[in-house]
Amino acid sequence: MNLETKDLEKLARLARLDLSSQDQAAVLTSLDAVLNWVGSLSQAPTQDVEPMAHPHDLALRLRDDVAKPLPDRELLMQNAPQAAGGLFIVPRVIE
Amino acid sequence: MAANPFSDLASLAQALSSRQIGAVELAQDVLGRIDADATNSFLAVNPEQTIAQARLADDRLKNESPAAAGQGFSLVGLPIAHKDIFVTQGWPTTAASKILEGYQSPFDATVVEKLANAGMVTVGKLNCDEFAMGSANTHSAYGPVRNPWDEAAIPGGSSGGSAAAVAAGVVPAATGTDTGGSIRQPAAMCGLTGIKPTYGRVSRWGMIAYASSLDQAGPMARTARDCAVLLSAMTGFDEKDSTSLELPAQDFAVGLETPVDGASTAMPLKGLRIGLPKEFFADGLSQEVRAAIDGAVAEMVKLGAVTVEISLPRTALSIPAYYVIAPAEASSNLSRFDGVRYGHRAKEVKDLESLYRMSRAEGFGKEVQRRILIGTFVLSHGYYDAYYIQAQRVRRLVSQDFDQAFTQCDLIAGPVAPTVAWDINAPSVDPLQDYLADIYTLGVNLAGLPAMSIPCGFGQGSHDRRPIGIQLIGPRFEEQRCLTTAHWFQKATDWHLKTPQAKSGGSV
Repeated sequence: MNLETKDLEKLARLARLDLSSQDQAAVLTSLDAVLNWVGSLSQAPTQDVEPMAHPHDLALRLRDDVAKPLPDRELLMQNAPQAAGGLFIVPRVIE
Repeated sequence: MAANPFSDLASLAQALSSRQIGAVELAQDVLGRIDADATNSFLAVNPEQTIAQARLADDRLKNESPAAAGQGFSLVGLPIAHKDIFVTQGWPTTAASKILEGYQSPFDATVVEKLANAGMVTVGKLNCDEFAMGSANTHSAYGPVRNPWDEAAIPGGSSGGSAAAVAAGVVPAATGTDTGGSIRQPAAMCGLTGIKPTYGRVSRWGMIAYASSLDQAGPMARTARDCAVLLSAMTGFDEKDSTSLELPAQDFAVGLETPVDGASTAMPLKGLRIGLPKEFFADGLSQEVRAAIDGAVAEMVKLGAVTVEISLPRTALSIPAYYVIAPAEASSNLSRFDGVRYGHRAKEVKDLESLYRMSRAEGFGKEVQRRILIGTFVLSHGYYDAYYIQAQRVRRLVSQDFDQAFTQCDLIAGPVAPTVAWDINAPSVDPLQDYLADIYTLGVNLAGLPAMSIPCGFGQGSHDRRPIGIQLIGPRFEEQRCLTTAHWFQKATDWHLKTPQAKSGGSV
């Protein structure tokens, strides 16, 4: 693995992170080191081994589709950085 | 009467039920010690709400005669502090991140609610590594936590504030979370007892998610007995967590003094087969930790246990497997922090995209951003199979290694960490260095097993104030076996009774 600046830019975009104010060279170096190291996993013989996504190989439980009471809207929106009239305010999306 | 700050929960419960002390008085003691705390363990207090809870507890103590069987005791009126990963109504919840500064949860985590229903009094929120990502508590946006045993040392992480607050005698017990060792490692480095239960035992509802298939909550306290009582109150099926196991509630304290099958109280561990994984005692384990572990194992043998050499051949591979899976899950979980619904929002933005990117870049710390980027990479097109799926295959092999080992032994014992707590000022330029130190704890999370850490000694030379813990790993659902073994060990030894205060007065 040899991560380049353009790879880092793509990752940052996918991860919705702005790295412009950071020391990108340092981020690149440490990321490259970690990814090279985890790349050693490819050497483990895993033919015919089922991937394990979860400690218990159980199907997720289903529940009845019944509406339950939630905290009221004001309480749920009290942490919004910007809100008005029960709506979250964001920068204009459609011109 | 002011209680001894280093009292365990069991003796405080006794003092409360015999009216030697009241819950309000006890809570005030704790709030006073939080004010004076020098370890930076606490991120938030709310004295008014704490005292209100304590008053209710005093009423309950007057009207209820607490029934407790075996080694159990009532939790009514006992103080507890919560890792700032659990959401709480009345105390802000930050996950030690700037992105959640001032966040007020509209509900309580199930763990918080269960312990409150049991009568415990919440005294505050505890510092930790940001979003529980770290092994030294140096990745908190609110400053590092110091080890009360040795202020030049880290307390361990990520539940470093939990460990330091209990070890310093500020509070008798705390909650922690363990995704890759975050209860066991700080418990070991601060001389405490802590247990991570089987995955699915404790509800994750209201526990801010790091890596959902690995995260579990558990108690940190002075003794195995205290942990058994706390864990009994914390566990149980919760329909709000889709991975909560539908198991009946279990009281881990009742059977605590039952000797293992066929043994006697004189030889309480008779016949217990303790597996010693040869990979846990190989190169990389410091001599001082090795000496303490050997001593603790010898003590268990004196109590009747037998040792068996076992092998966990994928131990080394568990580290890169974890550092693919955990960041992958983290990158997905942390996508909810978008600067729109809650949390930090950047000021100078031109559109929605830059609002997301700037808010997240300003709000998340460096280690969190690194793990998000790693996770994004291993989940991205072209790398998904080679990294993420391959890590999941290795995860199954790691889990099968444990299954195989448990055909030869009843319990696995070994170190928690390769070294004692390291220096708080040691420059951590290389994240890999910290990741590799998690070698003995990660496999347990990948497999979803219960495991605990109990104090068993101290380092040597200039490290003689840095505690060491031994790890006990059980098969799935065998928390009781871990706790019972730890309890008998603690009845025969006094490592868990040492306090930083007493230690500064003299030698070991």
